[in-house]
Amino acid sequence: MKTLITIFLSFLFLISNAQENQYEQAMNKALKNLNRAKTGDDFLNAANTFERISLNEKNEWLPVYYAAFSYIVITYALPDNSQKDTYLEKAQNFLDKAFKIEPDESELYALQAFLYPAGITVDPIARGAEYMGKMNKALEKAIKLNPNNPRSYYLRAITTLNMPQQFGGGATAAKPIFEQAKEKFDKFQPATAISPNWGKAQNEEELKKLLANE
Amino acid sequence: MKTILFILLQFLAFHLSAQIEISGTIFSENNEPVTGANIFIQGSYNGTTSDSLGYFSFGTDLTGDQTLIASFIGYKTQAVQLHISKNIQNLKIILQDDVSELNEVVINAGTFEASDKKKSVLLKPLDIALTAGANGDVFGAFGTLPGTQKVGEEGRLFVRGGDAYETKTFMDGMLVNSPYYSQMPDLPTQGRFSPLLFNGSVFSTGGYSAEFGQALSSIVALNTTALEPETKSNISVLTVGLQGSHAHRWDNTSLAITGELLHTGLSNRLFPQNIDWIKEPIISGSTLLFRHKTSETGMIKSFGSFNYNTSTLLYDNFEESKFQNLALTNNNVYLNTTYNEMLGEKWMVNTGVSVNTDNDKIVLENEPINTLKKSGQVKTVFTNFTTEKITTKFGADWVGYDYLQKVNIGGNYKFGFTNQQLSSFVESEIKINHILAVRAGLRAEYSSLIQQSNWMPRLSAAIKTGKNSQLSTAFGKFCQNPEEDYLKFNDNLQPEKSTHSILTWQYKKGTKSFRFEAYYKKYSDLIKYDEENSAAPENYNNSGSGYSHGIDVFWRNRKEFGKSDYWISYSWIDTKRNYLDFPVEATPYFVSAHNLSLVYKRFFTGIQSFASVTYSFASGRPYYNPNNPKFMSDRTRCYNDISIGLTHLMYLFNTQTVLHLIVNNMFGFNNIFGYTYSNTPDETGIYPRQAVTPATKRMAVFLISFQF
Repeated sequence: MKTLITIFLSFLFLISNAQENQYEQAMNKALKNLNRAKTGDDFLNAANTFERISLNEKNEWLPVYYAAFSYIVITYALPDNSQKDTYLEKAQNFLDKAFKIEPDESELYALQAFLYPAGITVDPIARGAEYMGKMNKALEKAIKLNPNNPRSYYLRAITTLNMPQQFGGGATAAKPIFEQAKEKFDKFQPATAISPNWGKAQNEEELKKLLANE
Repeated sequence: MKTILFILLQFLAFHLSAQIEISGTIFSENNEPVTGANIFIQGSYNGTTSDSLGYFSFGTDLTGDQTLIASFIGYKTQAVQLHISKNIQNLKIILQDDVSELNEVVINAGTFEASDKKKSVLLKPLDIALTAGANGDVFGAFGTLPGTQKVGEEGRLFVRGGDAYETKTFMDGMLVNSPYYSQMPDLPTQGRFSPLLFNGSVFSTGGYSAEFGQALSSIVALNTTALEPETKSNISVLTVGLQGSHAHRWDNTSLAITGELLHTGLSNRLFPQNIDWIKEPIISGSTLLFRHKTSETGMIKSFGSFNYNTSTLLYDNFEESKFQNLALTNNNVYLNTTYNEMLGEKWMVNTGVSVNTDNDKIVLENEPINTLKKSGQVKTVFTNFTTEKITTKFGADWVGYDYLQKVNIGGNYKFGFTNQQLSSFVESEIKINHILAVRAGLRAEYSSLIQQSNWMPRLSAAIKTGKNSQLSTAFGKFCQNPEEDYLKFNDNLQPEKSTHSILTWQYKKGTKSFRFEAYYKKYSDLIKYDEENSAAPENYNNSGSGYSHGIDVFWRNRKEFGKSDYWISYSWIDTKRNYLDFPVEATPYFVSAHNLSLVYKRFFTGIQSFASVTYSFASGRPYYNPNNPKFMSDRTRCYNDISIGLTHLMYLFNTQTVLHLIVNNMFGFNNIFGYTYSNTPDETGIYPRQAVTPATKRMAVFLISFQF
């Protein structure tokens, strides 16, 4: 009898374990695809995968986080400005879902700060000031929630770099922020294997370019 | 035992690997392959993305009855029932366009909306702020849209043959009783509020929603911005004064204050005016905006504006051939608070209160006229979204209005009245299908002063005539209490009435939009009298009437950032009325048959500069000539104006800096708004006249603004 119970329990354990692994496995696989993605289609593929996972894992914020992330990246590859807003809307929807699951997650505010500037190019005159303001607000919050999240600093650095000097941007203003981001990236350890861990390589590259141009 | 476990494990492994292949192709309604669609079995991870040919293929370990989902941006999500037992191939899935995302039918007859959020609109909020010739005035910018008249000496909106008082202004749904600064004779006024306060606005030239009343011709509905995006300050130095603002942002709360002190002394030296100022105009004002997000969907907004302005001039009273010392001082306080919240998923409530006091002190040759207007409003609107296709709004509002005028001319006189206006409305918008929508509403109003109730039906509909075009129509009855200048003498009057019928065709594709609108408007119960400002009540009656019909055309090509953006609006109108002291039916002084505006804007990215040019044309306006026996049959010469606005962005003293220059009537056209005739004829029996012209031929304002 005892043996039977053991078997039954281990069977249950196997199933539940298999299921837990299924989520992590799927995430790992999807992340691999995301990290390899180069074209807009690759990112769309990744976004679709994360969306499918998110529909089954309603209490996990990471699938919706990555789906939103992928949609934001896609907008940079879109040839036509008129489509940008629909993709960003979709990204915002995913992000909103993530905020519902994990309201105090620094990474979500950082991603929100990544989303705003993506929409500026659609109508810079109307949106520039407003969206930059919203972005700064989101970054402040991201840093407040986790001062060691390197992505907040990287995003601040890259937007400062891309902003015209007339608005207080440019290389000289951006460099110290890139350096600060590098410090944070060097110390950063993701909480799990599937937690957000992007931006380090891009940060190094931008810093290298800045140093080369000096 | 081990064997059993082994078998179980084997079974699991087998279960995981026994994959069934599902493949097919995704098409759009036009039979074109859809790339990038997400295809998956509901409730599982199994799925894939369609490739460039719309083809998809994926493995699943699920069997039996399952639902296959296909979704993509811009299309309706499609669900397909499948029975899975073996490989399924050559599935053909057709995704339907999601009209709500792309080209939904929109009821828009008579309406120009400026919004960042809605896709169907023809204008953006910043179009309003950055239109040359508008002087940063909301109403000035709407004056470049079809349906409006150029009335240079007034500065207010005149819509489709309607007088300025026939347009009412609302802020966040609440009535604004005195949206314009008080006016000196023959000098244009302008709106009190900066367009930067608003992130959306609706300008309706007729046929508007049952939510709004007490406006015969038109409404301007302004929506203030939500939370301030960030903490920041701004100081501007102008050739006509100083402006400053500070906004503070907390997590769910923001507070912004602005202040200004304007004095035209310097500017009048640079661009001399043909006015004898005894005391040049001083305007001081302040606004206060408080916003608090009470929940995910709830928001409290409070707005306050405080204005004081004063000026004195030597008024050339040509009619009576004398110069008079005329002083005007105005104090205006306007406060409103609104609260919006979702009540569950199906209901929304919008409620608000507002108060306004407006005090005009006019002193004409030591004889004072003091006018005090006090008003208050309470309004609540509920919106129901029970079904996706039907949105129903209903609500009620109360407006209390107290008017008191004290005149000290040859004795002390007091004129005044109090009115309580109660209104309620219900309106449903029904989306019958994705090409047809209908809106029907009814408004009821009761005035305690007039002691009469009025029922006003409003109907509108829109139907798609193609992928990018639609036809829209509106019909409605409107009424408005007589102006206070008559009510103060006689409360035995009826509301003035009008009916609007409008037909609009709109085409919008990519950056281009075209709009054609034809309308017919009928007036009845307009105020008539024999003698103006007569205190004899029997002098005023409701026997006036009139009509106006015409066409409005709008064309816009709004190219992408950094390229040219322009719009052209043209209006033709034919209107006549027999009202006030008109002896016969005639076209009133503020109407020109042809009005044209050309607005051009461009941002030069290389030099961080923005340029805007507006050309305005209006054909001649009627004026009364006592030498001509035919009433109002003379016309002024045509009106022409080219105005520019230049903005340059730079970084100065470590702060973001904006340089801004506006020049109105750059080429100095000699415009004439009308003529004033002397009350007495000269020795040859002819009444001499004097042209009413702009105070200054050209006007320029330079501004430097620092943001930190």
